[in-house]
Amino acid sequence: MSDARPVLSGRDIHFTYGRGADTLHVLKGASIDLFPGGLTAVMGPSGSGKSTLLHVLGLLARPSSGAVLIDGRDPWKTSEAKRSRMRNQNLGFVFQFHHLLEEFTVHENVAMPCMISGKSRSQSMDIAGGLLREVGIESRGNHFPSEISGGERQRAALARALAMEPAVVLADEPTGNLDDEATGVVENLMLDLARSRNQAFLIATHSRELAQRCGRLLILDRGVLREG
Amino acid sequence: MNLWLVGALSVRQVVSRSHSGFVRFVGVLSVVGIAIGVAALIILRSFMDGFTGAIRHSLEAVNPAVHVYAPGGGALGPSDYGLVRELALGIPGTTGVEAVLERPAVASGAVGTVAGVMVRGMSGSGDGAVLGIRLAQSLGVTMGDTVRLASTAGVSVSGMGRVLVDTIMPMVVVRVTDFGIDEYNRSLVTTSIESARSLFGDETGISSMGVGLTAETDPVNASITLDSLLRESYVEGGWPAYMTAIPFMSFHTNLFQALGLESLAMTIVLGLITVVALLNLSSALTMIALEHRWDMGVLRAMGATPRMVFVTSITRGLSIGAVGVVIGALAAWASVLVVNNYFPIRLDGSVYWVESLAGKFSAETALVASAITLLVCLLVSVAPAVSALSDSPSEALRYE
Ligand SMILES: Nc1ncnc2c1ncn2[C@@H]1O[C@H](COP(=O)(O)OP(=O)(O)O)[C@@H](O)[C@H]1O
Ligand SMILES: [Mg+2]
Repeated sequence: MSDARPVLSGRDIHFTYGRGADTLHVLKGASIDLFPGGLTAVMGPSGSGKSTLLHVLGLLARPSSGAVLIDGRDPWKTSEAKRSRMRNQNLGFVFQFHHLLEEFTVHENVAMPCMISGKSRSQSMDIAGGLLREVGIESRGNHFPSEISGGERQRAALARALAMEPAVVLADEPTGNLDDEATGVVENLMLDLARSRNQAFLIATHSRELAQRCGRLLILDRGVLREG
Repeated sequence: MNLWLVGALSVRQVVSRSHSGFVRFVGVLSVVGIAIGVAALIILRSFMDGFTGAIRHSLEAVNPAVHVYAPGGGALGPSDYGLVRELALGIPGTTGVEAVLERPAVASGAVGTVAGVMVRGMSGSGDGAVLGIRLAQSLGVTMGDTVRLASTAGVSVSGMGRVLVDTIMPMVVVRVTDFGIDEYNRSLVTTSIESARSLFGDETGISSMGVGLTAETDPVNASITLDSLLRESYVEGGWPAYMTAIPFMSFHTNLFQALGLESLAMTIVLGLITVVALLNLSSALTMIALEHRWDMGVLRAMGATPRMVFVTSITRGLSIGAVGVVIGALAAWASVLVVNNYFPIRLDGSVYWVESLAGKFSAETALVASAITLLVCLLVSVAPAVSALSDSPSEALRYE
């Protein structure tokens, strides 16, 4: 593993919320390397900064100091338009609350990253169709998110994260909001997909079970990451 | 940028079923407000245009397009007539040239009736009098009756202080007509120039000349051409004075300016409706942006550029505006049609010159009103779009 090049790295990341006296120093020098095909779990109590870490690694928030590197390049040294392109091409997100757009069908939601990338609607829908099959909800494609179950929504969110075949998938408590049965289905699906594709998965979770099924476990503790 | 996505995002987010009742209410209110504002503007302009057009049309129907007269009101001689006629007929678009003798007189019809009138004798008209309908009514005469006209030329005051009228001329009413303009209907008598000359005891009198033009010919250009031709001829001929040609409508410049000003003032007042509607639009857009803050964060996480977020935001405002504008323009068009056909507006001719008012819906006016409203909708959409643009995706994703 160590001889491969990391697709995403965090170097000594600090992150502070707020300004002046009222600041909260959440990340205090977290470092991480994600390699192609690697499955990494991040654990830590609520409020320890897992979401913050994923936002920083996902280029949604700028680290107060330290650097995020994608393929060795620093996204914060370029324009927001180029950064948007990196998010689109290199990163996929799965959020705790699916975050599908309610006004669009499940199929359209999955196609959205492709449409954002500039692909035509029909081409994007074709790609999305394949992914819906892969996550086993092709029969729900024409439904709206409010019309399907929580487990199905999270599967759709997973399909959406994979649509652009990103090098890195960041999943923030992807099963945190599901019942046990749906949790099992989504976890299995996610691990299967991760193994069959050469993508790096970083999963923030409270589930020790899930963490143990990942190749690697990191603990976010007092603002730094350590091997668990 | 995928235009389908931008269009679908903005339109679907505007009409989203997930909106709270209040957001929907404010949204509908802004559509209705914009529609009312646009409709009010177009309807106002339609009726102002219709009114101005009716006055213009009536004036043009009764009067020649270009008038030629001597500055200072001097009379034209027979040689002037010949020259003006020759020059005018040389201008393309001229349909005819008439000599006109127009002076005030007194008319009486049925026993005991008397009215001050303006007698207009024209070289193109036949003998006998054509009366405006109101005048015929007040004199109690109809076609075939006789009116007696007395000119001031024959009036003298005797040593005893009695008014003596020498020239009383009976004239058969050959037609009673609606001149379109109330003032003409109350006081105009038209006849042949010969009859007018004998009435006024002036064998060669010409007070002005009228030049008729085809509908396509611009009276302003024609009169400028004729005026400079006249100037050359008179100056060449060694004359100190020359005839002046002016478009008839310039006698009424003040009227049309006043109408234009009134129209402008009312446009501004009615524009306030649109201003209020736009304030409403602004709050609707702010609320919609707030309800979809999360979605915009998700889109940013998927790689949507700030530009796409901005355009989506702007398109929201434009689509609300477009719906309002289309509804408003259609409503205005329908209102003008319905009023013209089922509820014709009657006016008091003595106040408004014309007695009926029909709206004149102009597609051009509707387009201009719609375009301006849409443009302002666009400007109003900029503020929420800029704040969406500067929103941090991370914060947006945490927003509940
Ligand atoms: N926008 C914010 N402003 C201030 N504090 C925040 C903000 N977002 C999160 N926090 C705080 O930062 C800490 C880390 O939050 P988070 O990254 O969501 O942790 P986790 O995902 O591990 O539960 C928490 O104490 C949280 O209250
Ligand atoms: Mg979290």
